[in-house]
Amino acid sequence: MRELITHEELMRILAAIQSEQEPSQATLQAAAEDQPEQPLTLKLPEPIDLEILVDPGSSDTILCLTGGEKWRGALVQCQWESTVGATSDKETTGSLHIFLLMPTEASLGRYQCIVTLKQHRLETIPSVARIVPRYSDPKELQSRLQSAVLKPSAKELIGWIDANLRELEGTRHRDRWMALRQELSEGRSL
Amino acid sequence: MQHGNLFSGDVSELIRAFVVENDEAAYEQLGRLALQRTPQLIAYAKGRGVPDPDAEDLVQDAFCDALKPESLKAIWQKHGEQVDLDTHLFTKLRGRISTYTRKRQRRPRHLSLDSLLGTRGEPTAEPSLPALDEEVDSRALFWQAIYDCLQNDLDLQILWLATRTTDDSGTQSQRNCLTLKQVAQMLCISHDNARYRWSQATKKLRNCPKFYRLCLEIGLIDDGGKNHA
Repeated sequence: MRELITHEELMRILAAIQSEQEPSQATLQAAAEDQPEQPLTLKLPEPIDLEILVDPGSSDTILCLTGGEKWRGALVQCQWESTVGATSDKETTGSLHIFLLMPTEASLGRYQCIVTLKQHRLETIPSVARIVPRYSDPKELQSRLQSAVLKPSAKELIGWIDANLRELEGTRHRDRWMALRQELSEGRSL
Repeated sequence: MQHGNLFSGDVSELIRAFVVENDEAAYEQLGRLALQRTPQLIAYAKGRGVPDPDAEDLVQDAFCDALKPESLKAIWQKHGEQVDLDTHLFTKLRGRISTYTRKRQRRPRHLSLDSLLGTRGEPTAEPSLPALDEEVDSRALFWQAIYDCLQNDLDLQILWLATRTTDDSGTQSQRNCLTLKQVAQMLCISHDNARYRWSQATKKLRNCPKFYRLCLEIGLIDDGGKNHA
């Protein structure tokens, strides 16, 4: 059967949509240089339904995520491909990732999480992924948590696992999730 | 004639019958088909932060807007047989939500960063719902069509994250680009799983009539006289 859209067409379409909604690197740099107090925002439409706000200060960076129902109580990983150590004498660049737990209480139907990254000046809007426990591998999560710059406490992570136990029923990773939960409760995992 | 599927090609025939032949039965059938989307439309409005009772009101208003004869005539003249009632309904609802949101912006909403942190001067960083315009509408419709086709949050995220780059070569000369391996790391799934899901998701999209129609409607592809039917 002939495809309605070729692979090349699809890639072109997706690239066009992505480039429209992403602020360009030049825009981000201009914003950072010309108006250092001006926050950078990226609004992702439904069904992703997330607004990412980065407020780059001179040394710290504030990140604010605001999402709809899908983001309620979600464990979220954010990654920046390029960061600058702001307070060290020798500035370095590299990848950085953090984990956040979105709140379970909404404000006017929106779930909002705000964190401050100390001593990191972030130059880009991060990539943001919501962990889907049904499909995620606890070993992969554990590994990423261990190298994360910022992450929820063991107690918070246990609460997140418990809140998702129903979704994990019947999945091949369920036993590994329970093992991770046990490790967290014993203070061995992070 | 029975028209049980909102997304079938019969919808365009119903609109044509009403606009061209003033067929009242076709108009009533369109109304019934539109009403079938009530739960999704209300859920959408609520997802945009509209409280429950207001969401129902906005959906009712959107129905009225969408089913006005002049509105149906306009979309028939613009899209012809490619017309999509679903797209039309969501576009009208977005317009209603946009108006509603603008009115609400005069009231206190989310806490601003400044009020939460107490560190900055003028409050300029208050997170807010986007001011919806045509461009945002098109993007929202686009991603909604992808989700409707894939029906899976994980696949949607893989597609979203992976298409911020051009390929999976591992060469990262630009910022904000992720390879499929990086996408896998972000979602805490295996690289093989990410590759398999990416392959299946893109295959689904390439063969999805609704996605294809939407891409045509918002001008992302040109049919070029091809007959894909």
